[in-house]
Amino acid sequence: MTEPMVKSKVLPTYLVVDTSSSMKPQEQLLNDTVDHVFDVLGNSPRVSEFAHISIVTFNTDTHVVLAMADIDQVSQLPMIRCGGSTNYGRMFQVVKQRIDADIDDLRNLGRAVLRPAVFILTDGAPMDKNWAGDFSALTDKGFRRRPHIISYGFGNANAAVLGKIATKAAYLATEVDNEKEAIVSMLTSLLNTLVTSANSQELRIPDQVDGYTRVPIEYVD
Amino acid sequence: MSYVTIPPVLEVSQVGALSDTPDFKPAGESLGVWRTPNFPGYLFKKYNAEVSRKVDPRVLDRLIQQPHVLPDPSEAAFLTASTSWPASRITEHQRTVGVMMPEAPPSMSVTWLPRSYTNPTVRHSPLPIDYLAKDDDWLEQRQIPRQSAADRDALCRSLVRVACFFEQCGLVYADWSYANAFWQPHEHTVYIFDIDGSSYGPRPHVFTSDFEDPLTPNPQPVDNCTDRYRLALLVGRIITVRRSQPDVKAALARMAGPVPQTLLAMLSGSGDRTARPTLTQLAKVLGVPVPVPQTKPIDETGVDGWRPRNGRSGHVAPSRPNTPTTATSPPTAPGWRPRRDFNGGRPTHPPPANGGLFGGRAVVPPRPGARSEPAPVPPALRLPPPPPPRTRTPVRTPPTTLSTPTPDYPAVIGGVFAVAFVACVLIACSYFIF
Repeated sequence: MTEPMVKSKVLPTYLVVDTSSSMKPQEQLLNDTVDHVFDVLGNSPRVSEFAHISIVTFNTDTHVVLAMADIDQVSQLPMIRCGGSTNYGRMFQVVKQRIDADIDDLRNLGRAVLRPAVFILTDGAPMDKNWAGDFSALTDKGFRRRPHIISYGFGNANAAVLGKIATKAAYLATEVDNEKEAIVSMLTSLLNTLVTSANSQELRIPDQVDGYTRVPIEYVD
Repeated sequence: MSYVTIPPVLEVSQVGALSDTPDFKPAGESLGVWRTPNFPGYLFKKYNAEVSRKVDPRVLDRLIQQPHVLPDPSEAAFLTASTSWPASRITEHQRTVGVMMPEAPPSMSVTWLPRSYTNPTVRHSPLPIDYLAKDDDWLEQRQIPRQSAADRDALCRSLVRVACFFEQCGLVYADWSYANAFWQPHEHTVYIFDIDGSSYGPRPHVFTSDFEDPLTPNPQPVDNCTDRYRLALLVGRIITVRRSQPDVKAALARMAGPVPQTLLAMLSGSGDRTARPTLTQLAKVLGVPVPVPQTKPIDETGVDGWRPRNGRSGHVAPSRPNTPTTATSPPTAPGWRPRRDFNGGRPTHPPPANGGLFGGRAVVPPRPGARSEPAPVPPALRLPPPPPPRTRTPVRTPPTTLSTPTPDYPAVIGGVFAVAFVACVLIACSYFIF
């Protein structure tokens, strides 16, 4: 009698950060806070082996600044720079492409791959007009690898738009004194989400995020 | 060595004023864990409402008493040094709201350097056992000493020795994982915590990330067979320095000797789960001294052995550096519970199938007319051994080295003189009267 294959689960996680020019004043803070998240996760093997992370930045164009990796294997972190406009469409296209490639890679490693989680942090509304089609392609039920999307907005972010680009939860910073607090709170929330999810081996979204108010989402899984 | 003692049941008010935020963040079944001002060296784990409602105080009381029935003092000392064994049940208006347990001793903390991309800062803390399933390069990056194969074997022996004690007592720990133990890289010792959730016999499924037994899928209850799998996986990960279950099994299969073979059999994912080697069998192949649990029947006196330390009461743990050596309980200590509150008894009978801390009964209720197991006298009130009752069985008779009682000659002579004196007085009285 053959024994069932026990595969360890992995949660492909995408940290998608708006790096348009409006984020320029927060550039250093953004880098420092990302460092902190990776410091904590890098010293927690059971979390880092469960949640593999990729960092994607978007402004006029979209860049995969850190390819999907076990945090344990990441020796250097990217220096994030801000500038340009806020284009959502290209970002959704790139995320979709990366999901396909990354899931294949993780499967080849013998891992049981969970539905990806995409955490979007933005401080403004999209400048491009036709992003909705790209979003639909990413989240279409026909796309078996469609991700869970959690959106966080602050500054000039629009609650209605945040609700449209999320499939799991959307949060708008309404009770923070400044944008620094909003960024730190969001990344702390991401960190806690990954730790909690690692313990339960499935994506666990927080009910509350400090300084943020949950906004209704349009998309329902 | 100096000791701090703690009663087996305390009112929450006697724990002392707690800070607004816990010293350790809430996880799972707790609202947080606090250091306790009135009992230095102990931690108060406050249960959430659901656990408070479900917890069976009899099981917790029985668990708290468990180390005190160990006949071998060295075994008790090992258990004290290697586990955060629950020491006191905490109540509020007679409802169980938490548990007190010793904090990891300072010797478990080491200085190391967490990896940081920008701001490396030295830390002094215990190391989670998760780190032991990482290779030497990973450890060295964090300035943690490399661990040789012999070091890892020694750590596993400590781990298995504790696990074996659980099994011998009929306890299901169910939570063997990366999260519930510390290890000491210099002394090669381990420290197990979160023991208060253990059950006597099977209990509802406990999900343990990355340690799920394929033959005990959720929601099937977890039992000693599940513990065998989970502990074997933890030991296998430490020995092979592999993390995924298939990699661990493949590495073990390449190793020779009885230990890897036993671990592989325990990790069996098909067939009869009850056929997995026991933790005691694993202990034997590892050369671990197997603890001898209390197996003698308990008679109506409730005394089933003699404690190694006289004059000590309640749970005893090594004191911490800042602990006054004479400290016992705070001035407001409540004394001891009435005997009638204790229904747990000692685990000298087979564990109930549905017993468990978080559901089900822990102890089979006595049948009418059946001989009930007496409530053990709390240690603080333990009286000198009572004279042997007529019905006492030979096995309960305190050991003696003399087969024939030796006469007490001074007492005999004194008695003769006393009788003679009384007789003389009576004769004198009769002379004067008549």
